[in-house]
Amino acid sequence: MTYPVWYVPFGSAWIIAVIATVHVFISHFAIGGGLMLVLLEATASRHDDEALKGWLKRRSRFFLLLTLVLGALTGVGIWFTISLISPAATSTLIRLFVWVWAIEWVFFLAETMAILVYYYTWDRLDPFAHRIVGWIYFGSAYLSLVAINGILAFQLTPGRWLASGSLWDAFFNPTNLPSLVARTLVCFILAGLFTLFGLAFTKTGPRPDLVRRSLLWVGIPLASLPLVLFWYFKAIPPEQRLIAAAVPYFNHLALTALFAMAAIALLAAAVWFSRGKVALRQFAAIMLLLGLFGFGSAEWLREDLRLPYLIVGNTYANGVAVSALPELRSQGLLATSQWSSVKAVTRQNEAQAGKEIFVMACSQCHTVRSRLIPLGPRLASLDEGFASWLAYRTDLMRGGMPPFPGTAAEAEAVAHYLRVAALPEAISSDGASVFRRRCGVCHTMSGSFRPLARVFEGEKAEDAVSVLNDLQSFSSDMPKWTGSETEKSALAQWLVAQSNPAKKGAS
Amino acid sequence: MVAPVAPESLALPSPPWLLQGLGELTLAIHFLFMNVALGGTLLAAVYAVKGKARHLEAGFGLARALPFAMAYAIAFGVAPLLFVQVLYGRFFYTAAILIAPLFLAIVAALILAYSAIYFLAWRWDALKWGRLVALAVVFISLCYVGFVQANLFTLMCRPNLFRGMYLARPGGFQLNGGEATLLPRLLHFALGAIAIASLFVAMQGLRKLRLAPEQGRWQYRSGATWFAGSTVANMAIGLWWLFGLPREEWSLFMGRDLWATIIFAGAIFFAVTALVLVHLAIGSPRPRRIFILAASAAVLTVVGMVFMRATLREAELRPFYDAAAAPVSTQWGAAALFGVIFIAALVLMTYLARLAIRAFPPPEGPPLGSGGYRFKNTG
Ligand code: HEC
Ligand code: HEC
Ligand code: HEM
Repeated sequence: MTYPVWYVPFGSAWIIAVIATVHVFISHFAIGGGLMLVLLEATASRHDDEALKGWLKRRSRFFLLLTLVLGALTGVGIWFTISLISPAATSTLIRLFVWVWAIEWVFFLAETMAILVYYYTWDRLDPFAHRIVGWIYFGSAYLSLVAINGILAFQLTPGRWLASGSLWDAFFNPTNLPSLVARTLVCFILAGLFTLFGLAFTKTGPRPDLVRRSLLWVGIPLASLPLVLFWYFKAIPPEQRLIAAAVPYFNHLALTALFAMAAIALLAAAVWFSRGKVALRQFAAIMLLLGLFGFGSAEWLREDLRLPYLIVGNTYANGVAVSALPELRSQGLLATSQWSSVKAVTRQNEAQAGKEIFVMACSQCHTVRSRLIPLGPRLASLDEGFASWLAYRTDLMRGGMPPFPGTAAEAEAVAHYLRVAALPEAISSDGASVFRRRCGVCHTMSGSFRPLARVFEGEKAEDAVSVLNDLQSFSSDMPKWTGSETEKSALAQWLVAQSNPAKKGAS
Repeated sequence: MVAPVAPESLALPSPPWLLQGLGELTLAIHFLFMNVALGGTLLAAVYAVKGKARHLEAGFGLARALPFAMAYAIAFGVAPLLFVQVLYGRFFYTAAILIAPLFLAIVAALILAYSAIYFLAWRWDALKWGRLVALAVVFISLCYVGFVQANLFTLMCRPNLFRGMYLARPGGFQLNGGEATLLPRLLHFALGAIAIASLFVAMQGLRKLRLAPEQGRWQYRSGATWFAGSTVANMAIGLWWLFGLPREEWSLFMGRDLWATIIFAGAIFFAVTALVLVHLAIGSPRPRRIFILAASAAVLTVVGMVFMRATLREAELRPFYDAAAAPVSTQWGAAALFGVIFIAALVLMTYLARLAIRAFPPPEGPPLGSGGYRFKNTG
């Protein structure tokens, strides 16, 4: 591997998750909010509305702090973080898109200057010139989104670039446009939510006309978002969608995002139709929080859509270059890496070797025994043979994992290290939990991931036992049964019961 | 020998001279703003401690400018960060990973400093002891940022240390402590920051000459004195840094490499010029013009220093990497697009600057050239 892996025992993924969630939230708001400011300023000057102007003035101070301090610096923070956590992919993105980044930087510079001038020149410029400054701010902020969006979309759908290597193919990739439209809508929604929140907390009480206006900013884009998201998903190659759908928490994220959208829509409707009778403060605060959760989950979902890659078809999620995989599988990860102290697995160094491999190949998504998908307790509760089998076949399991980038002996070392580094979790030998441990990592019963229900349809428990005795005849990727006889019969009965629910009810 | 780091997977997207040139120019601008932020914080604290009305007036002038200095230090930090990653990615990323937690904490320090800066700028009058506390927060945070940057950018040039450091601490809690030139390097940056910030104080003094000649004169002299003191001291520190380098590196600037020697000589020349001019402005009938020349010379000194720093890095990395020999596959179209957008943005930003100037017209006062505008030798 080109770069060493920064080892964070509690999971480096947390760091990026926290910084990225804050940043995307603020940066999208910074765009929509900028537009909202100038539009409301126009309203204020059309009606000579000093109260509204005063409010906007105070808001622009908050806005300045939020975008310049938190927005810009969490942006720098994301860049720092991905440089540390995914240096290989970052280097590729930086080299390929250097001019796009440079253009983005120009917009950022203009944006910084415009927001400073905007804030400091209230009442010092004629209203028209002041609004022009606001428009310059909004324009440059939006254009920087256009630049960055192309790069983010590229990671998921590099499209023709994989063959051509051309910058334009990379930038104008299949999900660029739908993703840009979706982000634009999100900018409006967040601007509406923030404005509503701000209005709710004004001392003089919210002005109904402005409340309605911000509700429209939320409602109209929200209503069109589902269609745009559908367009976006359609632009993703089906095989990529399938991998993502097999990630166990994929559905949770999707449901959270959908739930948040629906709830925001409902609450917005309630505020709209109640004509000021609902408690606006509480409603606005909840809507804003829902926006944070919904948008956060959607962004996370988008990151997972590109699993097992960071740049689809080019770099795996653990930083291994797709082109380097064959060499790693034949020569071994330890032997080819500059960053390992051990060069080959032996009986004496197995734990150390396993740890180094774990850090290089798995620690981007897993921990040994912390909260983020801990592997130690899980593997410690399995027998060694089965655990090693799994470690070597990560790409077959649910989770959108990259292929194991090393030899079978190295996979055994990882499994060994993880098994001795943690206490086994309490296990029960009822059918459902045996299934979860021994089959569920590679199969679902009824879902879309190598479903098993149809195999055991109309079968009896004895048939299921003979299937379990002969797993390798179905696929050489499947491990031999290494569990106990009690577990086997419990599992067999459970499999049959699950696959034939109607019969169970009838008899 | 195995190379300590493997090459990047993509070719350079443009010829190295272009990337390098843009990187160093934006870095020089980064340094200027960073200097006003860092040195300005220190000077503001000194003035706040001294506490007379004229000190507080000068301190307030700095405090009000800090948000702008910080905003542009950040904006102009982003660009060189981009170019250094393009050119030296394999060294930069590895060094950053080796000190990862301390590197990442830069972001927290920046957020802290920036928030405190706005607090100061907007609440200066209401604060009393709070001023010093806030200034201390800003100063310590910014020093932290500079300290880690210096560690990072020196470590980056020591690929031979990488493997050992990583195997010792894969979690990254370490710095480049063994670097012999780290201390003079840090002092050099710190004194440079004070010098540029004191020029800024002097400039604000000049602007006050018309309306508040007393304050203006005092402030100009104060700035000029700080500038002289820090710059003279910095020459000594600079020599310490230079001759702390191995012979084959310092000799580059002493004639072994023509280009490096010209840059070094030029930088020294401009520094001395700035020193002389800043003091000539006192007592001149046209202080403003002379000051502009002095400030330009100081800026050119910084530009020269930036290119010296780049030359040094190139020399240190030569055994491992030669940018000039790296594979290049130029995206001319995109580079041209960048150029066009950059020029358009410059036009737009000039327009913004003119609006800002229109919004803050210079204060009314006696016309140019009349007595109040000049330095009186009585001071
Ligand atoms: C791209 C991120 C990623 C990488 C890299 C990764 N995994 Fe995973 N892994 C996952 C996800 C996601 C799951 C599913 C977690 C769940 O079931 O909730 C998973 C599940 C697993 C499981 C099944 C755990 C269980 O529930 O029984 C094993 C075993 C496993 N991974 C081993 C590894 C090993 C060994 C490596 C390193 C060679 C590795 N993984 C690398 C993301 C990753
Ligand atoms: C390491 C991953 C893995 C594990 C663990 C695993 N399987 Fe499989 N299984 C596979 C693969 C891969 C196939 C081949 C699927 C294909 O070709 O579509 C397969 C196929 C099957 C099939 C044949 C399906 C068909 O449609 O023909 C059955 C039955 C099956 N597995 C049952 C089990 C049972 C029961 C368990 C638990 C004891 C289990 N598998 C554990 C990976 C696994
Ligand atoms: C205001 C706070 C900051 C301070 C005090 C500061 C200070 C410094 C110092 C002292 C150096 C020189 C290090 C050395 O060579 O020894 C430096 C270099 C650098 N800084 Fe900053 N910095 C600040 C903010 C930033 C930010 C926000 C960024 C980027 C987003 C940045 C990017 C860089 C880069 C890229 C270099 C070196 C570039 C190169 O070597 O080519 N800085 N900074």
